[in-house]
Amino acid sequence: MTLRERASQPVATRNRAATGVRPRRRWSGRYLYVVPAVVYLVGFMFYPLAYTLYLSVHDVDVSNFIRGGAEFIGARNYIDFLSSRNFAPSLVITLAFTFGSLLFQHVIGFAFAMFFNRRFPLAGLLQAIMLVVWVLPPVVSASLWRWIYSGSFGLLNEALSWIGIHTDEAWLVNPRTALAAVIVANIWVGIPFHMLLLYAGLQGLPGTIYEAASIDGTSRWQRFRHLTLPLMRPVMLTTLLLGFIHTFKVFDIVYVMTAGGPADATSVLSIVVYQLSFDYFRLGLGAAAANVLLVIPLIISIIYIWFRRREDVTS
Amino acid sequence: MPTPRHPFAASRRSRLPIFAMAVSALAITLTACGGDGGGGDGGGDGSDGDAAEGPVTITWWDYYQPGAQEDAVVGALDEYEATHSGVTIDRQFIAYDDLKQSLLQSAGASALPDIAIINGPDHQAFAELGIAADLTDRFDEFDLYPEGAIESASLDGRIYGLPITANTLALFYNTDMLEEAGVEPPTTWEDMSSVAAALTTSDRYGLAYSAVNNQQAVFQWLPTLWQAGGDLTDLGAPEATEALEFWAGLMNDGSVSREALNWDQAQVAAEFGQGRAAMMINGPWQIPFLATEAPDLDYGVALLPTHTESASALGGENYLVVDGPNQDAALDLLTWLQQPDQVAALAEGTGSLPTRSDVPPFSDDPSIATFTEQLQVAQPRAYGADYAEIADHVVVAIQSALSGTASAEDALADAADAVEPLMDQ
Repeated sequence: MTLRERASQPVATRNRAATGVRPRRRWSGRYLYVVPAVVYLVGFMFYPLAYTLYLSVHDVDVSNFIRGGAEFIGARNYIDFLSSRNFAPSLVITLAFTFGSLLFQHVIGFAFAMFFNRRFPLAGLLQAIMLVVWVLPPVVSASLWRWIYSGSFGLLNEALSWIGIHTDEAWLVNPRTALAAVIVANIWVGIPFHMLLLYAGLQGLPGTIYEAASIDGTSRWQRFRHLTLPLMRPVMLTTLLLGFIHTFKVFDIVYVMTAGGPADATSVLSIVVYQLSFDYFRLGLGAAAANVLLVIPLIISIIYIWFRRREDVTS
Repeated sequence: MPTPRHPFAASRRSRLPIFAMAVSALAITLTACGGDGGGGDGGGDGSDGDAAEGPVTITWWDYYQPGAQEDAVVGALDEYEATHSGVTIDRQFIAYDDLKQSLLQSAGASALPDIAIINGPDHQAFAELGIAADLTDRFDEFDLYPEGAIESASLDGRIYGLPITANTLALFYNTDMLEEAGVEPPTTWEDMSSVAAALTTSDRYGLAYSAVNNQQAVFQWLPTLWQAGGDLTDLGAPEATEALEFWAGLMNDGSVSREALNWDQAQVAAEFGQGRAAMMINGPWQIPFLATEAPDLDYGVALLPTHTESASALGGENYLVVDGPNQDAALDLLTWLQQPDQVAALAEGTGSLPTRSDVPPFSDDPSIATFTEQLQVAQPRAYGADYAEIADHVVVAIQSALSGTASAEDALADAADAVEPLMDQ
């Protein structure tokens, strides 16, 4: 085998075939291709992550953040955060926010995906309009919803008055309604994301199966229940996982709408992290809280991957 | 029959991409968290690195809103640039809400401005951070300023800043609406309740205050707490409960809008300016705002009503000089700005009260005269470096009581527990 022939073979085969001296220059040249990716990962992911880890195990506060000399305190920050009076309520609020948002985003997104899958005139245009909602900066959509929920001149109360319900309820100001109000706004923002991914999934379904099923005399519901849902399962799970990660760390829309209030009613974990670090300057504690905020989606992702792997083996 | 498989379903070969997708999604989470709300820290590094000699660019951060306030500041800075060759001032607007975070991030990145204007109660925390230059022996006229104002810029007996101006809260009232209802500005809590109720109609509220989810709500409520004879150090006391019940009562009577829980002080001023509130609790910095936004509004300013004591809250901004290569040039600029005529012009433009004893508080304006009188009973928020956290707990208590999710007493008892370990003893 000539060198030229070897060079045109895939890398793995070539290495296996290489019995003599390997040309060294070529070997190192290959690694140049991954340098940009490595530099990016190290600079923008590993370093911040490592620094957050470093902060989280040191007693970093305002007096030693710049001056240095923070004491190593092991898991103290984690214990303090997990046992703080804010943690449990805030985790419950975050989970309620996440699952409340995901459930409705997904179901409504699925319905829209089915709708657009029917291919009718202007479907593309309508879809593009829906995507605008998703592309809108969160500050804009959050400000919009603030106005909708306003008590004295809000759109929601105005709309309610058309159907005979007269109220001046300020939805974001009442701790009993604020969380639900923020969730509804977030559902609105998230529907297009779910719709888009599910629509792509529906487009990939083989039409022949449906044809065969209709020849067998199945009803539309049966085809949805026994063909579409099982076929779409992987897409649905992936969409839900991405949605979970995205929603669990929500910050901007809640911060703009309520900043965690009233009376901490919408104080999701990311807002607690922000307050600890940037309001109270408890940087060590804030870093530990940020890591807790990271670990939860990580666990969910690992469960998901494990679940998928098991599913592959059994089917 | 085997389960139908989606064409996208992960086969064993395609598992890797899905794993990669999950990992990259997480990676996005990580970076996104690291950068949450990270805007606002524009290149603040105006330092030339050289010694003070030669051309120098002073980076200046403030949160004065466009309009009269900004014009006054920019005017003064332009004048300094014009009269001092070799000095360029790079003035940057940093929103009040972003200022603390931006300063902290810039400190971490060693890209601080040379001068920052910060709210009095936050000054000590930044002095503790170690970014503020020690001015104790470098400025001769500290004795011209009130003790409370200097104290807000001090830490462990050293002075880390200069007070710019002082302000305090008083009661603005719409003269026409009071005349129409045949009432006088209230002087006691009892008066306040009845006057606010009398002024409330179907299209306006009798009073507006800010109970927003940040420190402003505490600043607004503190006068009431002090008027009742209470203090933040003892929120479990009956005086504190009485003060919070008074505020909640005004809202439950319908004299104050429930939306006050979402109004910062600027929005309170907007409500008052548009005639949707007949009275408001606010500070002198709203005078320039009202002059431009509601020029036809006929209003007056009265002292806050009293209960067992007269009290208001002392507010104000300080200059913080960053301990960096340009600190001498920065201090020269501030010393120039402390000249009496500069102080007077800036105070008038920003709607605040000059703090220097050699600057007359332009008492020809009756509103300013009232604020100057109110200042006599104004108390500083001197609760130490953890004030931001203390204030957050107090806001939760205020909002719980105002929204009726907890009684004033229970809400304050919770806050008292949380606040106690944070108080400087």
